[in-house]
Amino acid sequence: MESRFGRKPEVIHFDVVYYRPESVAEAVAAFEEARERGLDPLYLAGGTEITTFSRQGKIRPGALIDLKKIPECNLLDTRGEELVLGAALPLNRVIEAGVFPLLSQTAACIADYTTRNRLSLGGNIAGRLPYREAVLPFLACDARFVFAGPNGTRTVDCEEAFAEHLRAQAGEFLLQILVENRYLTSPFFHRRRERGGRIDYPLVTLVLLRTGREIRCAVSGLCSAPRRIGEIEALLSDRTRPAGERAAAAIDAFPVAIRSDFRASADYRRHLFGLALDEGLHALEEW
Amino acid sequence: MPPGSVKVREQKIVGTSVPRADGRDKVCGRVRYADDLWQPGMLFAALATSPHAHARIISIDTTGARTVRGVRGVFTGADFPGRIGIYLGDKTPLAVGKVRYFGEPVAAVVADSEAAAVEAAGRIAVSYQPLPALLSVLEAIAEDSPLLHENMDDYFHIPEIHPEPGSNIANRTKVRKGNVELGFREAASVIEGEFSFPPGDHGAMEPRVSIAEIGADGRVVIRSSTQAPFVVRELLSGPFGIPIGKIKVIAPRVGGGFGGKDGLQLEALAYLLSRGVGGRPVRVANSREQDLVSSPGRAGLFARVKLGARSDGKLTAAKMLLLYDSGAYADYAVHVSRAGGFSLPGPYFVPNIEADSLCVYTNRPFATAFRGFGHIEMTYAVERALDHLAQKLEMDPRQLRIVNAIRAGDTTGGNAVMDRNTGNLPACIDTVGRRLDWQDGTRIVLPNGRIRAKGISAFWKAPSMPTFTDAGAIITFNEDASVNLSTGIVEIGQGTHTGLAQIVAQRLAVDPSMVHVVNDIATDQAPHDWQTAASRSLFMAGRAAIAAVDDAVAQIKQIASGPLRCSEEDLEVSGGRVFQRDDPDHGLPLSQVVVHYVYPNGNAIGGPVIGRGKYAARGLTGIDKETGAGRPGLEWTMGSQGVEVEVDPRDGSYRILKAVCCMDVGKVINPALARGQIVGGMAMSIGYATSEEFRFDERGRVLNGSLRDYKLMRYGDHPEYVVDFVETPQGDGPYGARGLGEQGILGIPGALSAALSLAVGSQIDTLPLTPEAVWRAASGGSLR
Repeated sequence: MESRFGRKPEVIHFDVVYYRPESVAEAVAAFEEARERGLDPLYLAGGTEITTFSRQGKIRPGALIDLKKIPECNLLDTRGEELVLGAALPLNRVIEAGVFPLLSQTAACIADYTTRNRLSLGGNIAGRLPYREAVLPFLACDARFVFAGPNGTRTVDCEEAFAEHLRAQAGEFLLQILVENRYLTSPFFHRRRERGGRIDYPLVTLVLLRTGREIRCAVSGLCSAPRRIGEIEALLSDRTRPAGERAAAAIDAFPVAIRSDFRASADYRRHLFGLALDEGLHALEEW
Repeated sequence: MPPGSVKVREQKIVGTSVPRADGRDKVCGRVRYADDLWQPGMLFAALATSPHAHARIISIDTTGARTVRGVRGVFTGADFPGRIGIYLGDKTPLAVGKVRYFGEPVAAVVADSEAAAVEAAGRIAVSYQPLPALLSVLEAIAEDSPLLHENMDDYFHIPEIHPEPGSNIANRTKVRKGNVELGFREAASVIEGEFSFPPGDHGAMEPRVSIAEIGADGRVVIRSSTQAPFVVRELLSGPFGIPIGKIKVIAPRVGGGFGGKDGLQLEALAYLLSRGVGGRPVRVANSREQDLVSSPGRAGLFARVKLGARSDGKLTAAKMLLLYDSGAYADYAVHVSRAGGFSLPGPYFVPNIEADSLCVYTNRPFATAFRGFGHIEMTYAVERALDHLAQKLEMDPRQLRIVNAIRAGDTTGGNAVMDRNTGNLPACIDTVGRRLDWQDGTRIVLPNGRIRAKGISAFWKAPSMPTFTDAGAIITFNEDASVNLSTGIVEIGQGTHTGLAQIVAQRLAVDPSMVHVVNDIATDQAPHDWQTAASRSLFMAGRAAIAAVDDAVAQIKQIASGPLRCSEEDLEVSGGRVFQRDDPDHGLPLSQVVVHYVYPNGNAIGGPVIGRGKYAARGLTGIDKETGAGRPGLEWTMGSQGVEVEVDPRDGSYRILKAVCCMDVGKVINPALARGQIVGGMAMSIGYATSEEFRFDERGRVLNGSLRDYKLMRYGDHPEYVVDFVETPQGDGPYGARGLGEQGILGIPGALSAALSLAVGSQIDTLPLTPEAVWRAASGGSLR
């Protein structure tokens, strides 16, 4: 890319082999080829994190395999009882399609509009930052993840596919995410809190999803990784107790360490989580 | 009557919102940054920086770096051992012996490409012996504190600052006035408080970049994103023995600075690296992360303030200690602490003062000038203390400020008498109160449990600069009688060039479109100027520009008096013509005079008219080492600010609904640009007060050294801004104007702390005012 003044900006300071496959098979083959050449390849969709981390020397991929031209990665469609979301879809496309309101609301809080034109659904989930909020709706509704790799595709329950981080096997990439239609309209609650301005990583993002009598809970920002908090869901779902009491009990029973860092203390995160939980449980009563 | 107003013509140019001359090109991206000025044959530098806040350098192995293809040179501190700087020479361009902050440059590579340079810099192996990091100014001034600069005695410094070798104090400025003990005895109420905040950064649009080359004849050319082309030249000349006339510094008209590009920044290293590779052009460009951490930011503060007042609110005594956290190097910041000292106690009359303002070394990233230059720190401490006092006196904080506002005839902390040019601070405070509907209550609980609260502050600032600060202006004419104005003022976004064009247009009585300002400053073409800092550019270069016009007008009259056959005294210049005052039809268009006049027979007289103007600051003195007595401030611009917030006390989150400023600027030259400067200052200040800070781990490493984590204010975060002006003319200012570039930043942190404290019922005395901090105050509140 030439800038208007005729010089070449250097964002990444090392050489990268760039592949742009147009099918799943080509992508897998490209990865294999790059790996054999010792290039330490990475799959890429939006590329925002790969570019910035490379510039800062945090990663050093020798090859990048761009998944954006693979049709299956760009699918946004209902197939039978399921919504199919391609992993390379830009967040803004997912948001603006509006087929999964909880996902739209969750994803619309990530970064800013211009950046979301680039950020991909799969990239957000597969990234190395501790937030990866786009995964929260999928954790809450037991979505299934489709991986493509040297041995073809495999479809995995979300519990197995995403535990702290995306559990792709060597040479695999996230192809699609499948969500049962019945969850698309489930009552939900989403609350995100930041240290200051809205365009920042979350101190807490809470997602609650009600399915029948059951309330499911997933959080980001609160712990070292996004996660479903299955351990407190029975408590949250116990409608014999008032919402406020359930929220307080859930905080006491919270099973993982709450994060403390330069953005906020664990105390404050816990407090915000409690407020959000209380608000969310009340909201879901009235749904 | 202020200079310039002697022959104001009917058409008003000064006082109108003439569009910015550089606006279109900047908005359309047509202006070149310093980083765009790539030179043929240019080489690229990259730095290896310290991962430790404090460590001894055991060894540096550069062999790995030298094997990278395209590398032309690898340099360490041993190659450039000389200390450089503007006020206190405490820093070498690359660390020697020790590193004193996280991110300090230890080695530099020059290579054919940026990629090769970065690659090689990553292969420099430095062996460190970590040392304990000194992270608090209070610890740093303790008697038994380890010394960060053991050899401070050897450092050169200007006589105006007072380092204390054998300690970590790089400067102490004292203010002694009256008798504080008597003063506190007269007081009905006395309060004491401690106020503090951590260091941060400027966040200027363009990270610092300098490109240096050395000609075969030894001529040095520096292209740099700088506010201070003439200072750069001076600071390179002495230490490196380069005749000053052989150094040319070119400063483009874009990039921003906010003080971070005052003095000497990357220029010295760029020069040394160019010298190290035979004079070829070498580009040293900060990444954003380096600009945040490796290059200097702004100081942090710890302040202890004791105030005494009578029951009517009149201040009787002030005792203060300001500790400016300058980080690992103090150079420029020594003067920041001095300015904070001599501007004490803010825009208030206090008869008895005992204050010390210190610049203190710690192992944090180092500080330099920052918009407000020591006053934002000083103002925060004073304004917070006044709010504590108002609470204790059960007095309206607005009224407390009006009662104590400094007026003509009062004396400053340094015992200088405020002259008749003193601005009308009570009017400013009153206006801010009205804009906030102060009379309707300052704390209102809404039905939804949220709380609306208001806070107010006052501030002042004079330029903090050498007593001999100068400015020059040259005007030349084109064939159509349009004017070229050349000054040494760098246009980095503040709009001064447009204001100067207005002053010239007004003085010459021509349309502003007839005045062209030379945009990119080169030191061998522009007249000498101190630097584009201290909010003194419009004032001082404006005075010089008026003088240049007058000089040109005299020449025009002299030339025209021949063909018009009358004496020069009978001639008037206005509207692009020179004519006989009592018979305006008898005259000539300037286009027939300003290059030369040609008689009908072909004879010519005159030649190009060149107007020369100059100005030097008037009547300034240093300050006494023991008492602070003196007159260091050219003109004090004062004003008041206030905010209204809406707070959710359950979690401390809040919105700033309205930010208000009223400032006595003497005369508004360009209302839109003046408002822009003040709104910009307030926006920057909201970021400063609410979010921006460096966070450290226990070893002094910066945890948030990138814009992912160091959060600047965003476009959508802004409140409603209200800006008003009071115009008490500054007798010696151009058309009565005072400086206003920095002042908009000064009062917001105090006003916002006041509003949030009032909302949650507990005094909040530290920045940044994060929702968590407000929540903590609300949880442990006692004020209500």
